[in-house]
Amino acid sequence: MSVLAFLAITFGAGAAGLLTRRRPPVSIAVGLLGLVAALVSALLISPGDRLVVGTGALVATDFMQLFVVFGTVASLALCVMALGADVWQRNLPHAMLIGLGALALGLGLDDPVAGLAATAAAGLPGVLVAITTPVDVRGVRSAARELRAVAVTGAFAIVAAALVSGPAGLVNLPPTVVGLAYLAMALAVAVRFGAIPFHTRVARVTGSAPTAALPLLLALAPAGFASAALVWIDGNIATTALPLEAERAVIVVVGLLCILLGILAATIQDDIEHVVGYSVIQDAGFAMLALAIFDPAAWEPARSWLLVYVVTKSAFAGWALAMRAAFGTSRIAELSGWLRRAPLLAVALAGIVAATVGVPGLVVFDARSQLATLALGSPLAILAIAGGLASLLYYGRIAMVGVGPAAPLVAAYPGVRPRGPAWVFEHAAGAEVRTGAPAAAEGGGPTATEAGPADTSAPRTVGHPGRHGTLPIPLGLDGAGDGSTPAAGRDALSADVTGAPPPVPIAPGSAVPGSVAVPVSPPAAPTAPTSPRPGGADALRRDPKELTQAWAREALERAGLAPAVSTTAAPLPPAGSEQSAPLPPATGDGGPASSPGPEHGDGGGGSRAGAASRGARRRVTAAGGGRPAGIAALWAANRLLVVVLLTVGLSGLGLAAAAGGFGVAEAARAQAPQAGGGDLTKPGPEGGEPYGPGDTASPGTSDQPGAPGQPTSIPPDASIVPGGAESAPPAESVGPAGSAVPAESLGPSGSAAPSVAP
Amino acid sequence: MIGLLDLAASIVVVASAVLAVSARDARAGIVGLTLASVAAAVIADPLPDPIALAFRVVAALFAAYLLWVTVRETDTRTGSTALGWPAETMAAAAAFAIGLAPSLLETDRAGPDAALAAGFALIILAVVPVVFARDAFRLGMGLLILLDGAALVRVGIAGTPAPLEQLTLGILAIGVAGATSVVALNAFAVSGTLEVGVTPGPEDDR
Repeated sequence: MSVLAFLAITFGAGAAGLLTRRRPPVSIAVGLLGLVAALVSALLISPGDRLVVGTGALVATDFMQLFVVFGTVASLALCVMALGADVWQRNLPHAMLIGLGALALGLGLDDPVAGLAATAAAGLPGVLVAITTPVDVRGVRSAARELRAVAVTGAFAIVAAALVSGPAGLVNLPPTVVGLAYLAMALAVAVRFGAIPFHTRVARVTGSAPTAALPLLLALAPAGFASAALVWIDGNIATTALPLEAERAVIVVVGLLCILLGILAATIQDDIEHVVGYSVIQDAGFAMLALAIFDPAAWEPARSWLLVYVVTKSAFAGWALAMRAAFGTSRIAELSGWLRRAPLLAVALAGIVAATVGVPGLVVFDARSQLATLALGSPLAILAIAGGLASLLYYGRIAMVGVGPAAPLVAAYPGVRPRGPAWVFEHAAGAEVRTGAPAAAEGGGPTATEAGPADTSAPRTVGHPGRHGTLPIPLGLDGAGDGSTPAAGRDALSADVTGAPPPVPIAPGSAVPGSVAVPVSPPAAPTAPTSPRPGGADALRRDPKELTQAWAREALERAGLAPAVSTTAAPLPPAGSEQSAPLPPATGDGGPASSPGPEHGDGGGGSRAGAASRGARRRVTAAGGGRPAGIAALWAANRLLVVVLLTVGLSGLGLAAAAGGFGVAEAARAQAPQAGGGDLTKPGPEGGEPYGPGDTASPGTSDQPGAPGQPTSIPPDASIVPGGAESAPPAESVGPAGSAVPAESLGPSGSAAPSVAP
Repeated sequence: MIGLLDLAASIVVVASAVLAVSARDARAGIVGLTLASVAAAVIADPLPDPIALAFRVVAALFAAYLLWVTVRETDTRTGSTALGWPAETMAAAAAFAIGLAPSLLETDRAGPDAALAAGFALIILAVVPVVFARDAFRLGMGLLILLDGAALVRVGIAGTPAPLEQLTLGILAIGVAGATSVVALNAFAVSGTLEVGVTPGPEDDR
């Protein structure tokens, strides 16, 4: 049973990884290898495989297979990227594995309530990754909100599904109750997606959770839940033939609000991760529109949209992660000139834009257009379609920023050329020289927030206060003021991902524990990068092997493979104005530190830069007696290349999926709206055999005997009552192959499905 | 017709849930939650498949154990209810009576009336902790009671769940308890209390 193997791998590796968290190397290996094994297992799933469990069954379908394949590929890529970009979250691969397993379970179960409960439970592992390390209040709150959202949506779905499905369901249901159940399910999906007006959770989780975890939190698990809800609605609500116009209008309004306001919010955000969050909300609007359509013509585009949604949103989150890895910031204002400095990331963004917006003929564009047309009718559909195209606004804004003059951080972009051992030596030497530069003049003044980005003369607090605490950013770049050490991007990453306290202004001459005063060159005068500085005298006196080991050890520390030795010093910018760059709290393991860093209270502001230098020296010294780890050193040197290449690959996958590759449309078409996730799971008219593809009542698709794209027509005499098989007329559904199938046997739990007009 | 055994079990469920949401000592709350979850699993007509029933019971016990471990490692004091246990009891009783109303109206349902009544009562009891709890433990307690209530409503409307459904309901309960444990432990690591506060705080201002 191919699905069982996937479940065993995902749940087994996920649990094993969580249980071995105290041994990071083992835990990371288990997680990454588990994802690889899960991918292989997902590729080997045989659609149609059926495992009977009690009175139900677990069935593999094309849609489920494609969903978990996309999810596993995205998860694996994001985990490797997170490892390379220093935003590793120790629960990340395990949470993704367990989430994928729960999604596969939910999409494969033929029981509607069980399927909904399982897909709802797929969101629970997100709680594990919503909390960053070290723990901060915001992360805990985000996790609590995530937990509440998942459990409440699960409860809503269980009650709603019980009303009109299940073994018996209510018979002779009044339309009001059916409408309430329908609304409750749509509400659950809206809460899960973070649709407007339930979007505050999404906004906050994007500000606290690791970027690599956003696809699991915002795209993968909600899309799986929405898929199960769509199956339930198509199989239990649409078949009642009740118009439910008021309920559908409410859902359409929510969907339209998501599309339009999501664009607005994404366009005005200053942070790329927040743009990702609101773009997720915007695209979720089309999934909400799909919930409002009872026409079978929407089955295929709705499911196609969900499949593409998972990949494109994962790719966009991965791109945001790569941007942070490359430039050390996700603030759009600080990314001026990125496009010219990082053409591979520009290519990746172009792929994501093409996969998200699409052009006529691509699956993604056609699916969006069909959903808008079917849900809204002709005048309003234009608004929704234009809303989809308006994604170009926020993508365009990011791109426009990219063609501007290079900001200091962007100028420090080290590039993604493959690095060999020789480069590692040279780079490590340059880093040592840089951190050994003399302390520059100090000054006082307001923080960057107070001064504003245009005030280049005023001291700025470098830092991104949004995620993982403050992220000190090396605006000064190097001692020569050329704005271009190749290590600056690395230092931007290494400066702090540990949740330092918020930046505070430093008064002249005052001592701020935990902060280092770093002079900064005016951002208005960035220069093009030059070649790496040659190693200085101090560096040359050091053993190259020692320096390489320092890099290797740093890589191991970041990967959680070795205990942290010390904080990393902020790089020294040229003489000029001052920045306040808070240092992360001491996390050392008592290694052979040569001198106390500023976190140990080494004195006033006059020695802060020197403290930074000592911090860097301590790192190197401590690593001097480290283990030989050439591979880790090369990984450290090339990890940005890996991150960027994976971003390009993920965007390419999204583009291929959006273009209809991998059989997206076919898999979506095969997911007929039977109860539960399985489309071929219900016993056939003779009871024993499940329906084959030719037996499913999935009209309105291009391979049906009727006119292509024509919706199912429900005969006026089809007085169908949810759950009440005895009330249904013995109408016959005509399958695609022309086979006549008793209608009452098609619906879930004996409910009747509408007959199909040939 | 209300079965006496189902009625007795449903009263145990509701009383235990009142204890769970009202207790100031988290350990007492866990005892109440465990009783409610175990008793809720047996309110069905016909009774679930023995294996499925056993799984639900084990899942309830495991969820309670996860919470117990959390409390043992953190703090046994919890927020309790601002309304007080008499008010909670009255609210639960009112919801229980409302839940019994469909039986008086003789509507067609597949499950026992007591299940619907107990389900309504549990959902009402869960509202305050789910919406207003600033305490991770209490939030998790409310969510587990909410899920139990939803499952009971489902039993009352659509009859005894199939084994697969029992399996997923048990997994969901364990998952919620585990996630609660994660949130509570991290909250305690940050603040020294179980306080979370899911409403926006100053640190949410960007």
